[in-house]
Amino acid sequence: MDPEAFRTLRALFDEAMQEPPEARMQWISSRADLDAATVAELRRLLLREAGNDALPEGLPVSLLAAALKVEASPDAPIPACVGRFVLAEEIGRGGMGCVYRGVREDGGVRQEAAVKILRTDLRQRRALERFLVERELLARLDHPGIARLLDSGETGDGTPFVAMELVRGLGLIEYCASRHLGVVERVILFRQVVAAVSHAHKALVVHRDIKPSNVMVDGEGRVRLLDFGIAKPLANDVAATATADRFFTPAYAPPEQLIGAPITVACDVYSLGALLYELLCGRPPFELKDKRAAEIERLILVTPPRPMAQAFSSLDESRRLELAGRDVRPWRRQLSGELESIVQRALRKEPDSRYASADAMDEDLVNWLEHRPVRAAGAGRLYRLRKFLRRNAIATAAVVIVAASIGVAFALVLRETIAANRERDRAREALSVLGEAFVSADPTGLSGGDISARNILDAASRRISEHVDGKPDVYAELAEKVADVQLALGVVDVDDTGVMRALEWAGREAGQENLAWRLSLLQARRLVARHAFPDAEAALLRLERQKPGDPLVLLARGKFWVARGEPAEAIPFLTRAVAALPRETDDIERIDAHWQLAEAQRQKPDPAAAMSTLQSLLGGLEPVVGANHATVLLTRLRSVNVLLDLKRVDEAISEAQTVSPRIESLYGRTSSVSAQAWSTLALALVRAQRYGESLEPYRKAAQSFAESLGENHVATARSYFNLALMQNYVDPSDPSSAEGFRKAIAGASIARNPADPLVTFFRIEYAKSLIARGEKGVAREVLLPEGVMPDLAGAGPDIARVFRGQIEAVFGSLDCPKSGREPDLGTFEGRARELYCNRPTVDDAPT
Amino acid sequence: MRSDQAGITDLLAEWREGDRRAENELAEHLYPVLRGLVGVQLRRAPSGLTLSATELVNEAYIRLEQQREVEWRNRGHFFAIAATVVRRVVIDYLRERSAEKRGAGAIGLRWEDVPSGEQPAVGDQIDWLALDQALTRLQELDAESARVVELRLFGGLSNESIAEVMSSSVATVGRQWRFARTWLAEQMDLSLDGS
Repeated sequence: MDPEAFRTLRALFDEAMQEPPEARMQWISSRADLDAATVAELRRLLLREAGNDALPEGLPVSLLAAALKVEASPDAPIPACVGRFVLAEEIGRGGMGCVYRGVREDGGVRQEAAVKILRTDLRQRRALERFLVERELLARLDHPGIARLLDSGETGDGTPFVAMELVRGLGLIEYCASRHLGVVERVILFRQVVAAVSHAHKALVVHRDIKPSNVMVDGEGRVRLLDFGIAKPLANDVAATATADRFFTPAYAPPEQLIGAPITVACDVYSLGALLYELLCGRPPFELKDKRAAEIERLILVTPPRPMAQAFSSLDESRRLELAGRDVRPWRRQLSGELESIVQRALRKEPDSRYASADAMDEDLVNWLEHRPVRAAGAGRLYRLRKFLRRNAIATAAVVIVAASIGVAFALVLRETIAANRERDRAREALSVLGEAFVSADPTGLSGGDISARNILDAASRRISEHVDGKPDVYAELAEKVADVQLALGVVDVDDTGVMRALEWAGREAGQENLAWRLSLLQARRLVARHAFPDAEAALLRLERQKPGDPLVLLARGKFWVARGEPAEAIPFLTRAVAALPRETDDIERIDAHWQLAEAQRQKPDPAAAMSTLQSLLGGLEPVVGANHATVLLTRLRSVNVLLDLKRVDEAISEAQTVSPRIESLYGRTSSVSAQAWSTLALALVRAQRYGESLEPYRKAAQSFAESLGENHVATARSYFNLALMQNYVDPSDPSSAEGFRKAIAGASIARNPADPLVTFFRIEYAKSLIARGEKGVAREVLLPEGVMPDLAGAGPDIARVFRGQIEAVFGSLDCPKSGREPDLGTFEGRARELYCNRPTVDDAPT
Repeated sequence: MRSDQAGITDLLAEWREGDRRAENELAEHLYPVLRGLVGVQLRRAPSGLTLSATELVNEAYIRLEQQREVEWRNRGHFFAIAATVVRRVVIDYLRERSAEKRGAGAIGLRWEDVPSGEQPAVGDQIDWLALDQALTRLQELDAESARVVELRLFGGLSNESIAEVMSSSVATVGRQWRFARTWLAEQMDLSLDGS
């Protein structure tokens, strides 16, 4: 452009701006001195200005926001009618344009529609194409679950529009909340969404943006899938869709959509999984709020969503109540079963390993609703069994051989139906051997059900449930066995229906009284272990009415009180149980009763009595089973803790030094029992202030925990932390403690969550050691990692105070702005300020 | 050649006193830092998916502060210098990308920053190359207005800060911005229709 002409234009533009908006065009016409070209150009600029059609205001950031959400422009002209519809009020806005309510009167029939008009400023090629594609795709679809296309065409000024069936109702999630729908009802409703998506797939259309706000439910409970705005025809030429424009909601988007890989029906399967996930546990699979871009990517591309039950538990109390009403526990339990497998299968990162189609997913939902085994759970079963055995059964060569045969036997049980009695016996045998294998791998029950053991048992109980009708006796017996193994493993948070169904059958069947009794006892013990105290109380009362002096009932009642932290109540029951249990010295229940009694006595606290309980147990046990039997060694390990209570520290150390290596040679290094033994020794050494010597056992404990429970278990994280803390204590200048701290933080962040008080506590200690070594920069990253806001409120005032003290040590004193300006959590300083300044009371202030 | 540490502080002081040459030199120091940051972002997100001007500049700020112990007394000043550099980094990056992807046309570099409380929206693209070209044309015709655009778009500065940095008034900056955004949009649209 000629600079002279530009200067004129620029001056005229500013001048025109001085005029009131409606008078500007008039003003141009009044300027007779201008040539036609200038007038034309000026007109274009003014039109653009008036139509809010300029480069949007603000940052590139808000540029984007503005592109997606049309700025309110009250003066933008809305056509009075489009096609056969008279337009009423605006009912929504999207990235592509506005949606209005349209009404058509046709021979006394009144029809309403959602009329979507492309934004005028988007009448460029790409947006236009997208809009036209949507129109074409919608025309292909005809399904009760998809909002129908009623009309399409162009408005008076040539802007394209579509008129869709207007769905009056609520969003899927709001609808479920308003009707207080339970888990089963939600799944049933959700199947309608799956059906709609499946229809689209059959018409060769992928929706690509399935999310809660795109699913409506009308007053009659009929689901409607909306917004095919970014839908794509399934092309034969896959490469063509690969680098196509992206325009979606990351919270529900699969990895391939994020990285621009080819989009197939698997994309919608993933989003269905994400939708179901949120519908059931109240949160989307990934919380992207306040996360930085890189973090979001990592979550979607790499991190598996946490189990729904966990996500559910992490909701605020009020949100949990809102979702599940009073049935919080059963709700949680339903989430942790096979539904979890279904959702996780749909949410797999690799498109190939998800359900192959929406129909396949639907099939599994039906299986779940009808209590049939779901396929998602079966897929990885043998794989998991193998993995479990590989991880747990390499202690000794002998165990390897046993494990291999279990593997075969169990696989057979799983694959074949248990029709004949011979097979039932085999199944029973396999289960009990398997149970022993599990329990001897982890007799502490510490893992709370190692995930693979849990899955295998789930699979077993599922298989068994197939026989509930045909062979109820087989079913009930095996159900008891499975529940027994689960209980021994500490797997208590599981579906009760199997046991309850077996109990129901055994209860009304003549000759099955014993089984019925065992099952009710099992159920009561399970409730105790689950800390479901009111239910446990009721169950125990029933048992006590039936057989008041039964030693196993006494034991269960004693454990109930121990679990509630009432040693004085527990001791009489446990004392009676010890006396009443059979005299066979190596009876596991009798040993357990002694252990529980000693535990109650420690709690009281009466360590002397606890000591004598354990000694008397040992006195009877050792001559019978030998000094190196597991029960003897575990009893002696317990006595180490009692010796510490009694302040007999040197004896405790020497006992632990004897017992720990023996336990390791018995259980192997990859066992949580060995880990516990080593940490007990380390603890004893710390009590004696022999810090340097505690390092070795701490190291062994950490290693054994890591190898038995995995890096991401709380017990593993704690032991890494203890190791690091001690390393740092022994030699603060030695940076090697950092490794332990880092592993502890990483592991606990996954086991709990990154904002958890335990993790915060780990961070503080790590930061202290860094600051002492002058590494403030690293300390800052440790205290204020990207995308994590430590939960200081949950951590309590002491941790919060220390945490703020560390922030001060890193940043110097921070000034806290009085105004309510939102801090930028994307920066260290912003996060520091947020955590430092945002404190509950002035009293907390570090002085 | 000056040592970096002393250099940047001095340059900043000189620039504050109105020395444009110092600004250019500062920018030379900034370029590799920002380029490095873009590189890191891209390694993390190979698709070039996410890149936020504010984030970028913030990180550069922290990094410089950390590494060279420069105390930027006025963040606005820093952001003003950074604006030009961000523009160059981004445009260079886009050019390389489109050279790699032969015929790929306007490649979506998404500028997104998540205002708290809102879900990040990933999506629409702005043809940054076209904007850069139009902005370069504007620079020749009206350097001041072009600078206002640069500061707003690539530096994230408010009209008030721009007025301060440019020793101008808020009203003038407002007028310049209003004209420039309209003119640029018109230019970009024309080139779109004409293609």
